[in-house]
Amino acid sequence: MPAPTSTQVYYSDTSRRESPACSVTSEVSISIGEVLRLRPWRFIVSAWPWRALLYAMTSLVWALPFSFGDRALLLLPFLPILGIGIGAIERRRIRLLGYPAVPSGHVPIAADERKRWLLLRLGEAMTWREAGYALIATAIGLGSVMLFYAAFTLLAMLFAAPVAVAIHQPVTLLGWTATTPWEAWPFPVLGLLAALVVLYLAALIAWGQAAIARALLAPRDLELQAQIDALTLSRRALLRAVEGERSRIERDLHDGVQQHLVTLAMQLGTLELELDDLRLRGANVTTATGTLEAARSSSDAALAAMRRALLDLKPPTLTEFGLPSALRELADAIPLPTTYTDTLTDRPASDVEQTGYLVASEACTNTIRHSGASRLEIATSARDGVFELRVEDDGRGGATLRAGGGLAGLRERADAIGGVLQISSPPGGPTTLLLTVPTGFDGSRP
Amino acid sequence: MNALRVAIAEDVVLFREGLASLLQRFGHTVTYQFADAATLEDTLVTMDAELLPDLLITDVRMPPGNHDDGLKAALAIRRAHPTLSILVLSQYLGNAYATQLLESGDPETDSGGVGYLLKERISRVADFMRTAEQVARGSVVIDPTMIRHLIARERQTTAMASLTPREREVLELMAEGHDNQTIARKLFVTEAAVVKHTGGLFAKLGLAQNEGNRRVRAVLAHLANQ
Repeated sequence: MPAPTSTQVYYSDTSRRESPACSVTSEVSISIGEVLRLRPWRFIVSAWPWRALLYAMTSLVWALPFSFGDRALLLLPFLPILGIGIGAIERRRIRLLGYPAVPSGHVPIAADERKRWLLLRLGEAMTWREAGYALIATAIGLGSVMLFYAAFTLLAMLFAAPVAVAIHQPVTLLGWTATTPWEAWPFPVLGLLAALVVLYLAALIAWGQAAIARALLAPRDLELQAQIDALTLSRRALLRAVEGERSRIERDLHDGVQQHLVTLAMQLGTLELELDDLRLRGANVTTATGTLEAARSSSDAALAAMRRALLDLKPPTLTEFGLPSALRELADAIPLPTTYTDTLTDRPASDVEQTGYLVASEACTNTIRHSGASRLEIATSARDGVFELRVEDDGRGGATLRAGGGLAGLRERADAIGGVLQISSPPGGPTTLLLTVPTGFDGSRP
Repeated sequence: MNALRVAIAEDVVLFREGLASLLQRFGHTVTYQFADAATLEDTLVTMDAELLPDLLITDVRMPPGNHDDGLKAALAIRRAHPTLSILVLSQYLGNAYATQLLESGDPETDSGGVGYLLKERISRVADFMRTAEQVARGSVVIDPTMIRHLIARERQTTAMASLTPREREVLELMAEGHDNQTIARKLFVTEAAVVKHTGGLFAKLGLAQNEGNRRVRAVLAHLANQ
């Protein structure tokens, strides 16, 4: 398979076309598969024979267990773990032959699940394919050791023959006897030919092993799906963490700063009473009263600003009364005749509510700013385990999910909670925004 | 104004003590102080009617849940003792809170007063005390900022758009719980003129002509339920 195609096979599904792994592989335009089909002289003058030889030689390392003799069998129970390590190395080593690094089919493991690492890994088909690959790699390694030992011995003898003849005595190799250095000339020539054969052999072995590696170590579709699921979950967890942070900040501001400001306001009120007492006893408090009034304006402004900030952070109505109440307030608040219909029976999960609220408020903002609509309809419902939020206006349409725009950000957000944000806005209108989230997707299980 | 017996529920000690001493300064007695909504609800719901205070002033956000526990307790107490007047202090303008509170009393019977104020209103102590006394007397008082918001929202509807500026002013003051006499004084017009304006705006909004608290409730319900 040509390399560029294989690059796309690995990445098109997950649409990570700009991933760093890709840019690394794009430097190498061909791989060992095509190299073998080149004319011999082009093959031999390129770097490929040496890369293939390096690959084949480094493969010998996997024959190492055989140096323990029978005791190599003791390693067998650890085969899955060894396989994971060997797999990780082999996925990268394959780049030596011009292939892109093979992505791993292992599911990422969350920090709190690290303790169960082995158990999770043993449950994956990937691990067992890696174990199988490890066995094959050991066998290829052992075969290669014997083959290259014989080949290099022969090559050494062929190239050394003229020298041996010169200083010693007749040499007989492959049924040809040389008694003088002049008679020994065919040996090095034969050596050159044999070297060419060895290099081709190395390339063939490398190509074969790489083909096995790519077949066994690459993720299957199911594994890719599992990875996508795991990523979806972790993204949703991240979103929850962000929500948690917002709540914490809101709580800190409310319980800390806001309480102090309110108490300050009360103390200013008390101060006014005390100034009144002083005035009744004949003191001149005009300046003090003026300053007090200024201080009170400042504290009022601070409290109003604080209230606005808290509202943007998280509308308390949403937290305490749920999405329908918050949307009703939203519908009340916008300067456009708006109807809100709600047929929800259960309260959705908090991240669904939060996303629904943000989608609705962004949609309202867009409608008012761009659509020229005369009315707006908002509706929430749940059907067959799917939460649905619909925002529709009678404006001029033509709205798009511009990259970097508010709606595009919300689509990513919807994505993160396992939902979909669709927009239909033909020129001439109407514009309909539809957010759907499967409510069974609660993030606790894939 | 007679001295009131007041119960205070507020979790921030400094604010609770401050409020208590201000009330005492104005001649009222603080009979109960609560620091969390659970104790407040348990104590007042089961209390004998003759031991009840004249007015309950409660914060919305309180322990144990630190959400709207104070409001929930107030609503439970209201169900147990419909004649007890309740003034809710809040940090938010959320009209979902106020709507719940307004709906808690039966507008046809003689239920206790209801108030919903932003906490910082207490910086104008004299106004705050007047409001508290009004609520204790059985009035309905909603924070002016909130009424302005509600009316601003309402402007979109044709009925509200047809109001004259003067009628809108009268509506705002009415929703704050003022009677015709006070409205006339605040707007520097005669009481007869106020009666004319209220008649006009009630007709335009499609509301029945009521007097006193029922009028305020009708106006607020109309605003909040749009």
